[in-house]
Amino acid sequence: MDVKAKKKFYQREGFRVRLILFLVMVIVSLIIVIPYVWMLSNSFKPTKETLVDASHLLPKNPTLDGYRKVLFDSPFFSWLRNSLIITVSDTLIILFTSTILGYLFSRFEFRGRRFLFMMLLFTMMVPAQVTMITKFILIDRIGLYDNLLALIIPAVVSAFGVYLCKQYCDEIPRELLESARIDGAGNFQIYFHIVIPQIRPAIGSLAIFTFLEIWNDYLNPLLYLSSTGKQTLPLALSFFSSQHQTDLSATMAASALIMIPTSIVFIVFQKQFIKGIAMTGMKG
Amino acid sequence: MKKNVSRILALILCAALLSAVPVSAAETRLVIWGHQEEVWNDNYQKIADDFMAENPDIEISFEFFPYDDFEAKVQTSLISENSDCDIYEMWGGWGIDYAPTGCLDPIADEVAEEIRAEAFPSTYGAMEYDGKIYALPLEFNIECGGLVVNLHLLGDNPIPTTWDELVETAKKGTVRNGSEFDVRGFDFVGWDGVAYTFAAMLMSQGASYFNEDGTFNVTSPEAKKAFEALADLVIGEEPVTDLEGLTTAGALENFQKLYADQALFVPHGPWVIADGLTTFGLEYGTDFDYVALPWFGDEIAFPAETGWCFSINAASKNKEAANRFLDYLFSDEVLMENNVACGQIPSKKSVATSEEYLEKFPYAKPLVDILEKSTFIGFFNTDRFKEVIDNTFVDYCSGIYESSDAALADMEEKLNGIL
Amino acid sequence: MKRDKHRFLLLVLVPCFSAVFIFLVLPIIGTFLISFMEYNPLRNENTFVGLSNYARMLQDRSFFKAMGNTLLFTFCAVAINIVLALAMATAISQFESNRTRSFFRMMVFLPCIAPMVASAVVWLRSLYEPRGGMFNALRRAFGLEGISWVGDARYLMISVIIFTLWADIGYNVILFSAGIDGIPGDLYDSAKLDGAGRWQLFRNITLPLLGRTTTFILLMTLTSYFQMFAQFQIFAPKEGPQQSGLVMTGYIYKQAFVVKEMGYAAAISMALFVVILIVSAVQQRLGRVDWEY
Repeated sequence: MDVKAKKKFYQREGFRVRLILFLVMVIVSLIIVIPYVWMLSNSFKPTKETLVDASHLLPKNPTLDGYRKVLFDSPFFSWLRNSLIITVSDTLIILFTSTILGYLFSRFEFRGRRFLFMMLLFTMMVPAQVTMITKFILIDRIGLYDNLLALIIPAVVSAFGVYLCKQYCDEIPRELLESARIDGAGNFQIYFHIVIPQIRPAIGSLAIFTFLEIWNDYLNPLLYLSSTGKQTLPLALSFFSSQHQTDLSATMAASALIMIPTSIVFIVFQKQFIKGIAMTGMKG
Repeated sequence: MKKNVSRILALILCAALLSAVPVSAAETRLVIWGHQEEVWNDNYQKIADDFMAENPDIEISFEFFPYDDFEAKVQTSLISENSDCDIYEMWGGWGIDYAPTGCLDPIADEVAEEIRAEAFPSTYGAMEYDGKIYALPLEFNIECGGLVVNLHLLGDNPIPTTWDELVETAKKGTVRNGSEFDVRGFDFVGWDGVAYTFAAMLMSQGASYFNEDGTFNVTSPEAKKAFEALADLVIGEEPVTDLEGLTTAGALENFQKLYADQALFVPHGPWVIADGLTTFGLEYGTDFDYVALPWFGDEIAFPAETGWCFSINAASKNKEAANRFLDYLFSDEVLMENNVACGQIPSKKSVATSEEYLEKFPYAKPLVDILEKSTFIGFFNTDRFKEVIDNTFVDYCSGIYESSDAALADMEEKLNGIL
Repeated sequence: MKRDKHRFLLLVLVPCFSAVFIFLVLPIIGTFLISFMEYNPLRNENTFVGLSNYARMLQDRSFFKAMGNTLLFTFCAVAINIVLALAMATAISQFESNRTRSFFRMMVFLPCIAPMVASAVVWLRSLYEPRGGMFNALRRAFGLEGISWVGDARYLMISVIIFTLWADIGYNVILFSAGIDGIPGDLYDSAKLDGAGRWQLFRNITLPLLGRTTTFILLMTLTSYFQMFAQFQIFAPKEGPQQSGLVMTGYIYKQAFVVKEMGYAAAISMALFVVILIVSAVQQRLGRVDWEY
């Protein structure tokens, strides 16, 4: 076979494989979507129907009761505000500390570097249930109980973020940093003007990961914030459950509403997130 | 640039939050925490409103949290040196962990005496420590003695008055489809149901699950008879229910199954009636009925645990006001109003036997007569008690144990582990 | 120059690591100390009991059950997760249109957006529901009897793993996709001209070049799967039949907040921490990627 024929053969064979893969991915996507359809459908069912006919895909007597309850029978908008404050500030702080620590661990030699980095990774291996009580006592004694800062200050450094950013910083060409240094740039200048643009893709994905994690955090706000009005949105998920019963329609409505802001963030960042991540880092 | 904009945004949001500090007019502000339960919460609010009208110097505000996290929430709040909660709604079973630590304030002596004189012993048993009472009991928690009956499924059959009739009718009413149940004849399988039904069956034969030295005894012949009879309803030749109520998360609770026409008889406390009336829109007397549960043995005897009550935070700065509110709550009139609204059996003898209460809450009829026959369940962690009995039952019915003797011996050992 | 470096290091490290030390390390040390006590935070005085919490742990059947379940869940779920995520990322990368690739990556990531608790409730009540749930409806359509997906000790763990993969695999598909996209295209072109098939391209180019990505993903997935909590709370709120849904995090939570034996809970926590540490260290050694570079 000559080169041309070979190429043709690959294209034809490639088409068939791609078609099969396409069909497989369509099926996978459908499987992924079904639970969401069900979530939406149940958010429009009356409570009794969610109990007896929960698995029916379409509501028989559609109602907006679930949404009404979530929006007006709970301090939904206070929760939304608190969630926004906490998530936005935490995400910004973590983006800053992750990038700068990633740069630092990647490009600076100093005593104790290995120790500090390992310590950071270790903290990632401790389940939240382990330190719940001690952390609570700590936060209480320094006077942060029932203060939104109790959710912001302890979360300023993310081990995952530092590790991710360090991986990307490792890929920045040495010459780029050195030439900047020869031009007389200080470390902060290099960080802002060279490192940040170089690892922008990492920032996009870290932003989404961090935002999602904090936005969906349920237990920490519940413990560290005392009053109901000071809680965050995920409380809406259990707010309509009593000891023996879950108001499924309100809970599903709350789930759908909670996902709106994260979906927006995802759509805004997805270009950087999905495409950008490929530009540097992570390879080889 | 973009980053700066969002940073400024965040600062503005923070400022907005810090500026919003509530200002209160009354001299004393009482904060009460409870668990989420719409009807109960509304009723607490109503009682508080009446109280505030009489006591203008006190302002009461409530915070309600989801039940599943309520205990962790109470616990951390009690640990905190900065909690502003004055009164906690408490499940009696938690008392044994809290009362001895000094984190709760004992109820004022006059009220405590009133409680001792007028309340059923089981309603404050878990909250009593070292001669002091640490909570004001709101209800008599009763999980056995009452039976919900689905009248559509009962058809022409008479309401059973003996244990044998109950089992017989349940067997007739059971509808199976292969190994799956369309209708469960007698669905006692639930977190409270198995443990309480077993304990009551044992006690109604004149036995006790305690030895004289205070350790557990569930290997007596009476215990074996009760255990085997109960298991027979699940794994016998004609089963009337399966283990779903204990093993399967997300399945309907047994009383919900009954309201959805999937169960004929369900033993339960009277609080489940409200659910049938409101959520399921059924009618008492035509769709379902609430009757006395026939006893397994010859005696009427059953255990009862301490139910919902109110406790005062030892760190509260408003103890005087808190005590005043609890005192107000313990008057016959207010307590009755609360019990009726929440579907509870009263903690106070005078309310439980009053005709007015029965008039307002007729469903309590099968129960009020037997309250005196109850025994306080014991000063131990009741969740673990139920867990051990439930798990052993499930394991036995799943064929994990060689014999009922082995199962009961294991149960006894595990129960002694919780003391 | 040197002073500038020192100043920079101090300015960054001191505040960051003060926070790390106070809020992340200190509570761990605290838990470690508590594990030697009979501890109730509500009491003013707590007694030191030496190693008795640890001794008790070695006699506790539930502890070993929880440990076994946790290891079983983690290894199965992580292995399937990595293989599936890599397969999906590779499959998606085969499409030529950028838009198709973006679309499928977004779809796969969709479940990660929802709070896991909410998704778990949805699965419990729609797919796994024994009476009318979709999985059983499907089984009945094929003439099989319905099974109890979360109420049967044989199936519970499988159900939790399937759900977890659905809810969580998007992260890894995205990370793998990034790694694949980062491989220079000319490597593939020249190999194709040499007559390499799709499978050979994958084996000889994609897989080896993803080594570092894989190590990173593996570490992250392992540590987070060891700590899975929410879905077990939803699917097996009472530990599941025969404790088949009892995992370490759930057991710790129960000991601390239901049984209220904080000291014992702390001792179990330490055991879990050590296990995660060992598994991660082994994984890093095998991956032959040191912590530094």
